[in-house]
Amino acid sequence: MRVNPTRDGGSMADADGQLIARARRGDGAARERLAREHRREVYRIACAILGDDDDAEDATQEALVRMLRGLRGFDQRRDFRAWLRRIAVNCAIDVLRRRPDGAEGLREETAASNPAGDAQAHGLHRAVRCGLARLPERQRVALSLFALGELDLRATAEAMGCAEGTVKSHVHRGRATLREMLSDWLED
Amino acid sequence: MRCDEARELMHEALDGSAEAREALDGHLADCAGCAAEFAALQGAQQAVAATVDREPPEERMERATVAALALVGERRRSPWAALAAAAAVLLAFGLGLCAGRSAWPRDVVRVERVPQVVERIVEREVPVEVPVVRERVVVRRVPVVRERIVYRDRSVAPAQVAPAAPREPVMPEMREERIVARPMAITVTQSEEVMPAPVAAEEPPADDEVGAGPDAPEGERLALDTSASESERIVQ
Repeated sequence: MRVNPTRDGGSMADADGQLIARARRGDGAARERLAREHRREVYRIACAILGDDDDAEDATQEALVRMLRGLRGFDQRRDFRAWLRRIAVNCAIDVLRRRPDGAEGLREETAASNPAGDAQAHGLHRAVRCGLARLPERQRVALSLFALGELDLRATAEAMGCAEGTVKSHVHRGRATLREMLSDWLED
Repeated sequence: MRCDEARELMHEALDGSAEAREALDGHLADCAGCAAEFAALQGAQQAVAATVDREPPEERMERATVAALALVGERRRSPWAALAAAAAVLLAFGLGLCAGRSAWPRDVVRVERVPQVVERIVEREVPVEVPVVRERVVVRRVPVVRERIVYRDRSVAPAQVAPAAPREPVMPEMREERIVARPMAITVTQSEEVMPAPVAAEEPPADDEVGAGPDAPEGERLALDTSASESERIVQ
């Protein structure tokens, strides 16, 4: 079920607040715990955007570094997870732009590690990755984040740093374009 | 509901709007084209979700976390690490001195002061074509190389140092060659460089004999006057 993570994370936000306060005082254990508790979400966001485990690992590492170094300047009245998702999206986009081959990120490792193991599923996943790679960057990021199933349009907009209506437009256009690209697969 | 309205609602329904889905269902039951389109859009959405929604590999997350923590930790410890490294170097140096093992070779007992050339200016004058003047005197400049070497340490005489082989042949100081030409056509090749060595080996002709002989070959008439000073001028 798609949820807005900013609304139902009250207890987690409290725990994060305590960890953040300790980490800002120089507590190394608190810093490590913050990184370990949030790395999964960071990795999932990076992998959704990049489609490659090596790049996702790099982006995750960079996002955690930025998070840990930015704790001193973080305003604790803000939502920590939304702030971290924004960092993760920015790091993933940075990696995406550094790629020599542009936006293409599908590698064998990604396809092979997908749970859907039959050849047709691999072919479909490859086609989806290639289709996403051909979308404009904002459409690709919006569609990938929204497809994660954890973020609603508002949370996706917060992570991308733009208005909710803009994200909705990106998602709709990207979805329609991808549906045309995958017509051979979807009509079988 | 028209089909274009239904197309608008399809994306809203796929975004999660229950109202849009409810309004759309009635149209989809009656319109096969819109139903197929909605199924295709839904399939695209599900395919994207199945592709991007993956459980992260634990070892990769652990590697990224450890690397990030190390990077942040290194940044905090870096001033102390630099101090520790400097202290270690000093300690090793001190221990080496105490053990009588200097860092420098033992056979070096005296360092000779060698003047260092800090400035080396080499000037060369190219032959200049000078028009034949009214007195029929052709003045031709000989290529001259001036070399000035400035030593950094003036307390050390340059003679103590073995002279290095000059890069350029050192020519005599500024000298003008005066060639007296006869009125008849005398061709002087201005680009020709005149070297002093062959001339010095020969008997220098008398001043009044230079170019005086009408029957002398042209090569003799163009002989150098090595004894003439700069201010002297030989006029026929």
